This record gives sequence, structure tokens and C-alpha cells, in this order.
Amino acid sequence: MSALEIALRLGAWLICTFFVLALAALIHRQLPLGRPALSAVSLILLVIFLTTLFVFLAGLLGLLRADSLAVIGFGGLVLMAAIPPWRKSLQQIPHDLSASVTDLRRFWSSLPRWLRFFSVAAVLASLLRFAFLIWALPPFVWDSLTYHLTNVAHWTQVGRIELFDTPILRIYTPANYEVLATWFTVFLHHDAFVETAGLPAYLLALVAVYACARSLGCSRPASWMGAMAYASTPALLLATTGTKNDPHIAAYYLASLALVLDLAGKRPPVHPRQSLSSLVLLSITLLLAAGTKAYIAHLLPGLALTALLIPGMRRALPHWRARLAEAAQGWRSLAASTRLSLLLLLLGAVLLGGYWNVRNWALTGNPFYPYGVTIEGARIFTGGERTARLNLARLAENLESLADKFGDAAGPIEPDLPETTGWGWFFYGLGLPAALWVGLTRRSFLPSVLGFLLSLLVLMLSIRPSPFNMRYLLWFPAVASLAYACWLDDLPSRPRVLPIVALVAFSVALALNLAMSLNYSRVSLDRFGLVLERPLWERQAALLKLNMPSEYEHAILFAPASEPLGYNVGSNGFIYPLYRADLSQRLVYVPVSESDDCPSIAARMRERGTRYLFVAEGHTPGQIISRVRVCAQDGGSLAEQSRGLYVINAGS
Amino acid sequence: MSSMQEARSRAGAALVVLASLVALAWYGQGQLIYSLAFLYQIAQAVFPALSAFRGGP
Repeated sequence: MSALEIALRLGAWLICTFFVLALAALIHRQLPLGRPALSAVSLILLVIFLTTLFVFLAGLLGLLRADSLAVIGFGGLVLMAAIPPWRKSLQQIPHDLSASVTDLRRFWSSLPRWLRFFSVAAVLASLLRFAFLIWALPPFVWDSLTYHLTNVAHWTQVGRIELFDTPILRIYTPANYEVLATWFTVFLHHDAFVETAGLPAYLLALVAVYACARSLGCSRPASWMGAMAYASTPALLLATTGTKNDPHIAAYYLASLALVLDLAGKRPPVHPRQSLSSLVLLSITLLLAAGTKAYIAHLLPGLALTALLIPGMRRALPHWRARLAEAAQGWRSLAASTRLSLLLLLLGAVLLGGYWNVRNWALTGNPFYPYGVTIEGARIFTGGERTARLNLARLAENLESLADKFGDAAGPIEPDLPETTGWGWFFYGLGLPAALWVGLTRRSFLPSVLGFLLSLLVLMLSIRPSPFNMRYLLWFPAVASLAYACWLDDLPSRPRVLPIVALVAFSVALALNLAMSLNYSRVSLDRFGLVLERPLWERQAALLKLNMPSEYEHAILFAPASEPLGYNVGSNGFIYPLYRADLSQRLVYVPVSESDDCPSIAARMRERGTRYLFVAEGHTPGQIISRVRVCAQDGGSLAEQSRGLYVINAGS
Repeated sequence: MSSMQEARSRAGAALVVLASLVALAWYGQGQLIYSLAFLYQIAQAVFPALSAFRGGP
């Protein structure tokens, strides 16, 4: 890529970023929440939502190209500036910004001096860590290389969101995260910054925990310490730049909790617009989550329990009826144009929340394809290669497995969380004792604890027992962070030794959390050195030998990028590294069975428009590798060009 | 706050702080070596003399 091309592509990205930010600012003004922390949650959420919607709509229309997106973004900005009420609203942005700066100053001045120093150090260290890991390493986490990023690469390559022929049926699963990740690849047509796609969710989760703590009555410094503690959770840190969708679900769950805590704790008089705003944002958050990963549905009972318990079970119904009545009143008070814009916003959320499942239903008869659904032995949806089960036996098995992982003693905390929870030093060392204490002594905190526990139990009714399943629980350590924030406010200042020991322990726990996540507990210093020897644009996932068989490196080095590359992997094999970092390699799936004879394998390759066939140990079924090897022996239909890469024999 | 409440609050806080220290020590048994492993690698690179010490993480 020439410098001019990079500059043009970055320019397109900048225009579209301005467009999304301006749109988010416009809508943000229509959804007043009355509290700075919630207002920040709302703004971050709207930016994530609108970015996802923008890419999604462009993808459905086949316009996922930097130039097309730039034209749409520029046109959108011109339109906003041309319509008088929108222009007027845009002109208010500096005023809104200055109000936000005032809020930030108030927040900052509320922090004790030591906490300001600590916060600056923690934020700088986190920023440097994120920036370095995103810049230095290509994607390498297992599920990303099988299906998350495979979707992203295909869509970026063809400029359209579509299904494609592949043995990995999980490309059918709800993919709002992948849509957002496409925002980070489509402009540069490269994956150099794709790991950034988790950062908006990380930020949302951080601010949401702060907003939750404030709703629970914690002071600003205590709430901020709770939020920082949650943000230091190793499992969350590792997943954020691990190109997976779980941090997004954690963020949406916590943002929903922040909105629920605010609504459930409101006492009259309540401004009708605030109830309306909270309910609209709650709907958007949950719909966005539904289109990201289905397990958000399993977390909802916990949220609902918190919503019922905070006003009190007997007062819950009138409380929520009052909130709905206020929202209706707020709706009636809106101008017609504002109502229309909010309706369009909700329509977009319904689209992002429902598209994937409706599409799957229409195509396969099962909205949850490729997962069949079984509840206590009764088959609800059939079809697909996997089964999602909901039953008590699974709950027992998962709780037993959680007990084994509890304490993270089995090994280092890696991105896939093998046999560990990944909850880290703060959760176990400080958060858990505080949660036990606050849960027992502070009645107002109990609804949140019970809500978290119910979400955990319902989730454990269904998740597949596996050494790697704790990634579904990234949201859970937040309960300990919230408890710690509540406990801090009750911490007596005398004798001095108590707060001093507590705060030293807090600082040490956060520092150790950060230390253990510096290199994903996987990448050695030497490996970093090898990767950094390559220029940014040539840091290929296929060349990072952490979990990558050498066949992938051979494919990158010896298969011509100008020709389609045929591949055959199993249902959990890596596809993404074959696309190359610049997403230039065209791929075609070549189905092979062990009963195929050599001429028919070669014929199928020709039929699919490729001369090459890629297979890899551990990713392609062993019998297929043996079959292909046989075909390459003694001048058969195929010849082995390099390890794992076969080419049709010129003479065959 | 009455002196009784104050004493109870202090005792509660002391209990949580103590429990935290115990919990940190318990967690550290399994995780300390992994948590410091990469920092140790960096330290070794910066101060090669550290490599002379055996038994590091």
C-alpha cells in the first residue's frame, strides 16, 4: 500500500468516524438521563450501536468499501448540516462538551490526591498495554481464527455481509460483534487494528460499573476504584484485545444493569423524559446484545430479579408501572421529528437484534442454527451440528467445574481461560471478602448480589461444560467490584493502619492483574522480538507460531495470493490466517471425503476454481490428510508443493 | 455514630482487611509465579546477571 493510499483510506475512516460521532451526539441530546455517569454510558453505547448499524446496513447493501462508506459518511454529514433543527443541534455540541468537561472536573476534584496519581498511572499503563498489544501482535485466539474473524475477512473482501460456503457453521451465529470488527478492517483493508474492536466494550463496561456503583449510593472515589478494579480483571483484559465477542456481552449486561439500577431506584418526582430515555436505551442495549451472542437471554432473569427486588417485591409492580407511565408521558411530550428519529433508532435495534436469527430461521428452519435446542430432554429446535441444552444435570456439572477452576490454581490465565476463571487478584483477594461482608451487612446491596447469582445459575444451566467456558462469565467479577466500592465508603479512617493496608492491597492487586496480562501469559519476550522484526503490515496471524501449525506459514509463503486457494479444515479448524493480514487471499472450500478417489478430488478443485488445496494437522481431519497425501505420491493427481499445500499435477 | 457502632464498624473493617490479606496469600500460592513470569523475562533481558539465579519463574 502506498503512503497516498493509506492517507486516503485513513481520510475515509476519519469522515465516517465524524459522521457516526455527530449522529451519536444528536441522538444523545434527545435522550437525557439526568446523571453524568449514565449519560456517559449512553454516549458510548450509542457510538457502538450506530457504528454497528452503519456497517451492517452498508454490508447488506454491498457497500463495504472505504470509498463507498466515505461517500455515505460525507453525504450524512452534509445532510445533518443542511437540515435546520439538526444543524442547530450540532451547534450545541461545543456546549455539551463544555458541560461534560465540567462534570469531569467535578469528578476529578472529588478524588483524593493519591487516587489521582494512581488513576493517571493506571490509565497510562492500560493505554500503553492496549496500544502495544494491538500494534505488535496479529490475532491469535482460537475461536476468532475459526469463525469470528473469518466472517470479518470474507465480508471485508467481498464488500458485503453474506453467508459463504465453509465447513465452520458457526459463521451463522449472531454476528453484531463481527460487524463492529469489520469497521476496523474495511477502511485499511487490513487486520492491523482489528483487535481494537473490543476497546469500546471495555470502556462501556468500565463506565457502566462506575454508574452502577453510583446508583448503589457509593461516593465518586469509591465508585471509581470499583470500576478500575473491574477493568483490571485479567479475563476481561485478555478478551478485550482477543477479538472475541464476550467483552461486548459483559459490557451490554453491565450497561443494562446500570440503567435498571437507576430506573428501579428512582423516587418521585421523576422527569418523564429520563424514564423514556432509560427504557429506550435499555431496549437498544438488549437488542444489540441479542444480535451479538444468544447467552444474553440467560442473563436476563438476573437483571429482572434485581429490577423487582430494588423497589421491593410488593412495590415492584406499581413502581415499574409508574416508570412506564412516565415514559409514555415523555413520549407524548416529544416533537414529531424526535419521535420519528427515536422510532428509526429502535427499528435499527430490532434489525440488529433479530436479523441473524430470522435469517437462520428462514434458511434452515432453526433460528439458532447451527445449534439445535433441547430443554430437559425435549427437542425444541432441530438441525445443526451442535446442541444447546438447558437442564439441571448441566447446572450441576458446570458448578462442579467452576469449583475446580475457582482460585485459578491450575495454571496461567490465558485468553481461552483453560481450567481457570481469569477473575484475578482483585476478585479473589479483595472483592470476594468485601462481597461477603457487604452482602451480609448492607441490605440495599442484596438485590444486586442475588441478580448476579441468578444470572450465573441460569447461564450454567445451559453452557457446554468445558475447560474453556469461563469466558461467558466476564461480567460476573463486577459484583465484587461493586461490593468493594460499597465497602470502601464504610471503611473507618481510624486506626490509620486499616485504610492504609486496604489501599496498598488494592494497588498491589491491580498491579499484579495488569502484570499477568501483559503478554496474554503466552507470548515470550523472544516471540515478541521475532514479530516486531516484521513491519506492521506484514504481521500475519499465520506466522505467529503460538497455536499455529507450520502448514499455515507455508500457505502464506508458497500459495500465490493472485489465485484462489482451496482449503479443507474440520468444523473447528482455523480459516482466518489463510486470508493473509491484508485480506487479499481468495479462499474456496473444497469438500473432500476419505472415500474420494484422487481424480475426483482434483476435479472438485477445478470445479471450485482453484489449483491449490490446503490441509493442516490438527485442523483437517486425519483421514482426509492421509487421502490427499496418497494422491500426491507416485505422480498422482496432486503434487505436494510444501507442507500441507497441494497443487493439481500438471500432467493429470 | 455511637461508640458501640464505631467499634463494630472498625471490627468489621479489620475483619475484611484481614480476610483480604489471607485471600491474597491463598491466591498468590497458585498465581504469583505466573503473574510475575513475564516481568521476570523482561528483567532478565535488561539485567542479564539475573539469569545466573536459578529457579526463577
